Amino acid sequence: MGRLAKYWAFMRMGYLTYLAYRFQVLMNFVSYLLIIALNYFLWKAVYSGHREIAGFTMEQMMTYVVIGWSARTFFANRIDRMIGDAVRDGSIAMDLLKPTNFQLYHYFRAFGRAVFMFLFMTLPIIVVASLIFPVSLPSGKLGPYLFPLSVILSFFLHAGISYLTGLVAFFTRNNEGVLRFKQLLVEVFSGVMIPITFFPDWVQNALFWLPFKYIAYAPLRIYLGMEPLSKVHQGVLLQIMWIVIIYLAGQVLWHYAIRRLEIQGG
Amino acid sequence: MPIIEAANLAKHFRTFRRRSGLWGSFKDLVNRKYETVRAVDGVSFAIEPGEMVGYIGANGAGKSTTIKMLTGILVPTSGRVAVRGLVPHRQRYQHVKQIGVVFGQRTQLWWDIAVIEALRLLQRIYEVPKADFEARLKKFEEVLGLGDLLNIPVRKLSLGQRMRCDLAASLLHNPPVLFLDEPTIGLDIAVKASVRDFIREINREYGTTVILTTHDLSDIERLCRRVIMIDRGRLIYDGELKSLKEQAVGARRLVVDFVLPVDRAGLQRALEGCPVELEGGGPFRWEISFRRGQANAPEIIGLLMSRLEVRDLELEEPRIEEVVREVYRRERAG
Ligand SMILES: Nc1ncnc2c1ncn2[C@@H]1O[C@H](COP(=O)(O)OP(=O)(O)O)[C@@H](O)[C@H]1O
Ligand SMILES: [Mg+2]
Repeated sequence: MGRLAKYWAFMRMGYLTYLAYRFQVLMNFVSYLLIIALNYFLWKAVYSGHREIAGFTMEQMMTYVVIGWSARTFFANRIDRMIGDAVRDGSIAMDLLKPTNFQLYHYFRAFGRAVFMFLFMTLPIIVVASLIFPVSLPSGKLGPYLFPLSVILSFFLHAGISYLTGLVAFFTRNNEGVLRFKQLLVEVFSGVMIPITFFPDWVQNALFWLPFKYIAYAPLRIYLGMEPLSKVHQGVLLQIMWIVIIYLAGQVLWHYAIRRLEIQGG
Repeated sequence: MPIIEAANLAKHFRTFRRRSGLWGSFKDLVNRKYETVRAVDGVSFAIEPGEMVGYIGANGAGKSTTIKMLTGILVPTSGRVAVRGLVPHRQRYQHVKQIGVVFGQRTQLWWDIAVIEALRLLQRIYEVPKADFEARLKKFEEVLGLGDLLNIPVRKLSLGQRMRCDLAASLLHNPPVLFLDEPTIGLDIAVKASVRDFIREINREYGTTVILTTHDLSDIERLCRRVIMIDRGRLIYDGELKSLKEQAVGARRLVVDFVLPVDRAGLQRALEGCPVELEGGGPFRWEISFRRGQANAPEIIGLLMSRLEVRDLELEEPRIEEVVREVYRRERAG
């Protein structure tokens, strides 16, 4: 009970922190709608004269865009940045003084933020965007049930990747470069920007061995009902596998990171 | 049995000195010049349960670095450290449950949420039973006067308000050991006093062992019988505050404001026979240093009052730098 209450507390903290910044979030809301609109006109131009591109119809593509970008508000996190800042300004000391698993502390704190984002960004964006653009409901037998699960898994997968990126700050003091690089990898290879099927075959093959496409592409395929049942299960299992692998990698890396830590200042 | 033990504890930082200019930064890339900072350099001490110990030293002496090792957030370069039988950096999780920590320049609360929310979070993090939490909160509220602060976000608190909240936060789980790193730095006198009273009361009521670092000797005077003094990473004194002051603190300083200008010769004449040193240069204000045993304050004040017109005078507590210097002087002499 006690342990659970602890991680619940981190979620609450993440949630409350963002509650203090409701207005900044509102600004983001507008920019997300703009991105979606931009994508809409872009794809409309691309699709003129085509019924299907890379296995997606125009309607599927628009659904992909709207659901993808709104899901992104949910599974995005600032873990890497927070760890980097905390190492630089020394406030990492205060985190280390609390009886917690540092990794889970960050996961759940970020999850609290994600819950906030879900309520104040993801849902409103979906509602508004589907009033303006053609968006279809989840299809297939499992889409409606497995998609939410899959997106929650996306969150923890992405949280793990950010956590590893954050730990780099222990070794280099400034993790800004790595952080940017990670961001680029995630933007491009998670499938948020364009579906993986647009990439050449060899890239798609390579991506099978990497965790990125399980962040956005896999859950979106589930939403669209584009995968047979067996593949849906496989996708979810691979998400779980990656979450576990990255979690364990984080635990190992932590072991080395903590030795490198030199907390500056009083 | 000691509750805190350090044996030959050391922390060396390897820093590299940046050379200036474009050519310098190029040279840095090829061949870095490292130098070792011996922040803590072989310190040993043992502290018994219930003690309140002042860990003192000038700025940069290595106080914070020692505290960071005792609290488990820095891994020592060498030496041993144990708190209640646990090795802080190895058994961090169990260790941090048994300690409370306040760093004067940091907060353990969260900037964007209200104090009471932060305290509730800490209650869950430390798994404090609800009834205990309520009881302690009520007590801290009274003693530290937190009442109105509880609903304010931490970022809006003044330094003194934040320090009081941080103290309460560090003790919610009733830790047997409390580490305070410069808890009164930057506070005004009234807040300083209430912080000191609170620490004393916690120690008396719960038997909490307290280590307190400071470069303000008056903190120590009010709270600690025992002091450990370090300088440049090395332990230079461990014992009673009383004997440190009696034996080592020779230099004291009297700051005097005169109604009429007084020159050096005039002042020397007035204090004929008293071995003192004059600083400051007047003409209205002079700083008179003297050594305990050679001269005493009543005598000097008496002479001044009878021979010159004094507007105001103040007997300054010895500053920590002077105490350090004294301890060194004694060591070299002995
Ligand atoms: N992370 C660090 N890297 C390099 N040098 C450090 C670091 N932390 C402290 N130091 C140096 O170690 C010495 C002791 O610092 P500190 O323990 O903070 O002193 P105090 O708390 O007594 O003022 C200082 O010279 C300081 O510059
Ligand atoms: Mg310090």
